[in-house]
Amino acid sequence: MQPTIELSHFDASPRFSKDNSFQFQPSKTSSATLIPVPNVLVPNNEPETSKNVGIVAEGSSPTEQLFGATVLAKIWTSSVSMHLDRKVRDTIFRQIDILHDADEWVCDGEPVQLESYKSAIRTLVYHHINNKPSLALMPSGNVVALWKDGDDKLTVEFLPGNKARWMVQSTSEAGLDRAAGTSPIERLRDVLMPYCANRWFDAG
Amino acid sequence: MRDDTDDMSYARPPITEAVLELRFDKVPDPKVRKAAAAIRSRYDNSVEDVMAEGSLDFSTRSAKFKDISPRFSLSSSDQTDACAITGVNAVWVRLAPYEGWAPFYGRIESQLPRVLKALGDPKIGRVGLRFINRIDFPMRDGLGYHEDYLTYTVDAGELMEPHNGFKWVIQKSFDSGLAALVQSATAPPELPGHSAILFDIDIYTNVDAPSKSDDILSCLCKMRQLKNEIFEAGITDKARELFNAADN
Repeated sequence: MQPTIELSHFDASPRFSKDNSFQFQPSKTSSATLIPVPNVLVPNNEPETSKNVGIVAEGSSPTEQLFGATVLAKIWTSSVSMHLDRKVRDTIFRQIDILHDADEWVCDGEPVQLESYKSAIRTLVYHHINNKPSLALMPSGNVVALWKDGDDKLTVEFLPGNKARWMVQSTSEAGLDRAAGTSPIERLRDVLMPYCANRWFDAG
Repeated sequence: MRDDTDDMSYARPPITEAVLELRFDKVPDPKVRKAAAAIRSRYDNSVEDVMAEGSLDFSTRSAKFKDISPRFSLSSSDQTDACAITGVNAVWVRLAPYEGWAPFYGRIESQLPRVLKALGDPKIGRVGLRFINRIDFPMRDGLGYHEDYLTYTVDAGELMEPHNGFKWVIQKSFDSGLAALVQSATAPPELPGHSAILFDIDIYTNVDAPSKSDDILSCLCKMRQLKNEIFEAGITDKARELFNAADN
């Protein structure tokens, strides 16, 4: 006889909520993924108190995908929130929500990609950046941050793996400088030093 | 009785997640739904997951499914405050930034009686209060000296040092009826040039666990006190400097 396979907590269909005022509309094919919570059995087989109870909606509709992407980003942010200025964090969350507004969403783009988002937040923490940037999304879902100082601009596209693609427009006595490069995020202050990075990164 | 003292608070507490979990005898689905509805207005988001267990029989090419208790997940818009209720447990979560015991306890204090009443005051089998700390510290000469930050350490000896990671678990039962499950492990670093360790303290009771709101809340304060003692005994002054550093 062939063995049977027991599948526990297999996601059935459909998932729905009673209150339609939620931020997403589940579809009949939606599914939700529990963030993995391995139960560690220790001496006396005492399983630990549950953790990571957040649900990320993975559903098939664009609205569900947008919601799921923002939830992933916000939950990950908690792992470094103790290093992040609260006002900067709140501003970033607000901008992420605006960028993922389902009514304004452009269909051919991707929602925020988590690995790019991580590079962005790590940059803010590592370089102690407390001057809040304006955020945008590339069609790939990579996060783009923009800082302005008068007509001078710094644009940084955050790539997965702690890398950043930057572009500077800076005015000097000799005229307009434009420069671009790709650097590890920990090098950003150094590579931007000729353009006085502190005027963008440091508030006040 | 609520314990408002926060004499162990830090400018940047390393807590990434604080969890209260109550486990109870199986409650019918309508009551679970009612419990979620009782506190839904306190949260921005609400999700109901319909769950099922499935089994495949390859010999007959058939599958069977059995509905199991749905799970209701509630969360704030920034995902820092969450609550999940199923037919066998209710969990309250606070993710970082941790704002102190008072707001976390206050949320539980205001919601717990409503949830228990809606669930039909089930018999509680286990109360667990868990704090997961994440300590990010600068590397030195390419190595992460975790022993500079935690007093509970693993001495791997000359042969195994330096190593690529560690994990340990300690379980202890106290005369008070509380038990502690304390874990630590290296974690993937989130900041360039830094190492990271998790310091996970889980205080629980499953012996004569309280079932009434007031008793549970009183128990939580005692659990938190024990957690604080274990935490303070487990960290070094160098770690305290990290947690109190003005710059992030």
